[in-house]
Amino acid sequence: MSQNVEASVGEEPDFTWGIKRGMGGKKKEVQFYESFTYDGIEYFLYDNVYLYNEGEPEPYIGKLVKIWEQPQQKRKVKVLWFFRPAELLNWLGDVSTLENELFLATGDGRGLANINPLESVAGKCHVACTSKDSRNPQLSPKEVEVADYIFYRTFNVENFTISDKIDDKIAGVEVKKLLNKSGVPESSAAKHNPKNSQNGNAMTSNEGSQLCPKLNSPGPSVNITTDAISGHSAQKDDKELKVSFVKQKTLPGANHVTDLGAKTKETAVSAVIKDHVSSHEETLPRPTADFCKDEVKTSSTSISKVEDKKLKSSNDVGLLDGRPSKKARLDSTVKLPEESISSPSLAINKDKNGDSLVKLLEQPSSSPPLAVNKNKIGNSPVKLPGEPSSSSLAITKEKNGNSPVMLPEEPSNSPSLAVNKDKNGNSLLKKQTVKADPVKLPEDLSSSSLAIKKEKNGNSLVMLPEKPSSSTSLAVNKDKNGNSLLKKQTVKADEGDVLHASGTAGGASEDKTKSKYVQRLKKGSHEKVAKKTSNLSNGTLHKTTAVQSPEKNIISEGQLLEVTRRPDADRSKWFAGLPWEDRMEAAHKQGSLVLLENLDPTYSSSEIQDIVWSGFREICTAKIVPHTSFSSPHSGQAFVIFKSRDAADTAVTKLEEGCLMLPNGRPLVASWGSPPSSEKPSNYAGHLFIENFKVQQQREAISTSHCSQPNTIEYDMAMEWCLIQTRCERMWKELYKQHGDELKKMKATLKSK
Amino acid sequence: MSSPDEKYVEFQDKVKRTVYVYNLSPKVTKSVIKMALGQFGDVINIQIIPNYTELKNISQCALVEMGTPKQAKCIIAEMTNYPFMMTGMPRPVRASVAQEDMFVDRPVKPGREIKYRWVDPNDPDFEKATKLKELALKHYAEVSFLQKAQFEEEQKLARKQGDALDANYGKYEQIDNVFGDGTLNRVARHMGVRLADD
Repeated sequence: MSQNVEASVGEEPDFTWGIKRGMGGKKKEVQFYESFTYDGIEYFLYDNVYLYNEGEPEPYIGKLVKIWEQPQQKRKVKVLWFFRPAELLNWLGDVSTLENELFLATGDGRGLANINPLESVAGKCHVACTSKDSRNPQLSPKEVEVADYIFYRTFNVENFTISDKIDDKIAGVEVKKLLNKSGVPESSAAKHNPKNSQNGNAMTSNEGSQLCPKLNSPGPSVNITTDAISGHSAQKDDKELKVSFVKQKTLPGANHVTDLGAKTKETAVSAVIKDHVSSHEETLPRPTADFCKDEVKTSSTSISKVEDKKLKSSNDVGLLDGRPSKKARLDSTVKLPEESISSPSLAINKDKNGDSLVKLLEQPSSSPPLAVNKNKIGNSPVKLPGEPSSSSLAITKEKNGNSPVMLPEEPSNSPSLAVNKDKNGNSLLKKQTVKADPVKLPEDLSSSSLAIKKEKNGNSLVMLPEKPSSSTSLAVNKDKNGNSLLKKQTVKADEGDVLHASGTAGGASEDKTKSKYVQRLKKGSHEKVAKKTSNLSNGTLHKTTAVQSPEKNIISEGQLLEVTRRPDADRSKWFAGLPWEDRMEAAHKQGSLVLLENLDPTYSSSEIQDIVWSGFREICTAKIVPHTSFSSPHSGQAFVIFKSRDAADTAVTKLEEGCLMLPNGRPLVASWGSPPSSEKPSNYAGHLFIENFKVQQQREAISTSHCSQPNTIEYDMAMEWCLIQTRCERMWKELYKQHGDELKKMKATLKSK
Repeated sequence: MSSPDEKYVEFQDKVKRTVYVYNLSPKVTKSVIKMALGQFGDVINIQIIPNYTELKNISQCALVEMGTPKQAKCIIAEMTNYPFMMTGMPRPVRASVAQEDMFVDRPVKPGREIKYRWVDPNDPDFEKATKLKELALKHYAEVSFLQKAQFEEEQKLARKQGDALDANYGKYEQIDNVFGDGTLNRVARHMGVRLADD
């Protein structure tokens, strides 16, 4: 655990060489190695590592491309660097980057690689390559999620350009070795199994381990199910999105199966959405991941019923390996009866069990942090009373005060809801809904449903696995990419709607619209999908960084829950990192430093992290404020560094508005923390110096510490200090006694403890 | 890795060996502490607790892990019985037994389950909880106030002592000057007094 970190600092960690390679050098005196063990961690060639550099706020990240020992036991490693976006600010231009994105150095020149003492290696870093490059074994979204960083672009140190092409050789190493390790089998068999039945009713069922669009490049497999839509030709196109099954072996535990079944009943007033999260055993080395079953039945009557959404995901939080393995199964059945059109995708993020959704809807404001990305088209003539429930709830945590308000107001008919956190998202949302309303033609609806579905597929399916994580935290679309992604989608949706709307508005026939739509589909479906997926995958990554939650999040009010261990509890114990004070300073500047108060003083830092995880579904770093002789015995404080400003913001707001009750009648209190000042004050009350003697005396004082003898002036003065110290101690005691009484009185009024 | 229980026991042992030292000058560094407390035993580890208050030049505190609990007790006894000076005078350094919650990186207390709940705004407890929150904030404010008051007291005393010291020093300096510039000798001759000791 983290406590060990300190212990290991300062002493020489254990070291052993591993597998030998050849000898080299002029006199054959250099022994190359393929692996070594340092401080209990086994490193292999081409591993990604942190290199800690004194004075740098963040460790460098690089790839070991050579390991050797020179005479006199000098151990060296050659490190091919990764760049953080922050290091490339001058060359980034308008290239947008993910929060956890890195750039692999390439080209030839300064900054490509360095030879460092082996001891500078500070720990392993999990960097996933999400490049679409065919040489790169693709990873599942889960694998990408758990990665500390991702990269898919390179930075050329020769001409300072960023590219998503990867050279064949970098620093004399074949690129294959630099990408994901091939130990992870890449997507092998790709089957296309879109079963399209096109007799008005299309059924697409994709069963298999993973659905991934062939085009889907950026590593992580994204499930996309295509669905068929009411017997319009459009379907075909849609399906041509090619759903491929890709079996990937993932690390056990990384499996992630989401089960989504969505049922929406026409009488949606009482739309009940059941979400279960059921956990599967991790240990099964099952071919990963996302299992999607998607059936779309469209009947001639285009009344759409979306029936039954079940989200089963696994609750295993405290996974064996400490990683959140979220297995969710995605099972969605969408039935489109003829009459109605819309069988929207349901993306349900967090809800408590079933009811919560409804609740949430009812009190959108109270549960601000819902991030739902759901594009849903619910044009069905039957109004879904539970629109919110069926539709997505997007609650922006800040700034967009309107969104929560908007949602409830929106008619159920609104074809697509794109919910975004950011303002754009909201505006879009509005637009869409506005547009959507006028469109009520059944025919149109159907077509719209198509459009929507597509989106849905994109979104919902992809999203689902993520949802759990997103649920508590708004963090989902935190970053720009995330946003952009959403935006894009929404934009697309928008287009669709626009098309739609224009069709209707112009009195254009259904056909026209359709044809347009079809065209559109044809034109862009493949690419778009590819794009989308890639975006999505990026988005996912992003999110992941913010939150990795295996479970669905449930924040239920009033329910007594147990604080569970956060999923990364055992991670990163090997890397001491920067001193906490510096990190607090940095976090304070970023606005992600929060001071939690009114904690039980006996909590440890790790428990605080668990509490934050359980209460907000946020991963954070926390440290308690150590008690001193003058701190209150009744409560403790802790500084918490959230992953981002947004996350911190949410937590603070939530604690201000809501009330997180910890045992023993302690509501958690949060405020923006400011780190302790590091500057050394020049004077200290109580240490006296005589001007002329100052220099000399100071030197002596530092070198001598002593007990005063009773026959000196010093002793007399010291007695005065002792007096004041004792008096202060009495004051504190008195104060805390009073506090204790007040608390006791107050707590007695609490009904439940 | 040892089990949580063992780790906790280990930690408790460490706490017993540790002395909490406070009223340290902010200028005190680990090496100074090590030297100062090295005379009482083996200093194993020193952890300076950062100043989390808004007051800048308030006194500092530190946790000093000694070789044995006995050494730790010895330090506490010594510092309680005699004013102990470190890096400056005359404000003495204090020492007391370290408490578990003074350690930032303390391990999790084994066997504890923390329950939490988000209180429903409609719950009657919500209001009380809100009051409790306010109370907590009030207490923090009071603590902060008392800290300031204490700090001011200290400054007052420091000033008073400083003035006294300066005054005394002035007197001594005067006397010294009288010796130094020969005035004393002149007066002695004039008065016919022998200054030199026999």
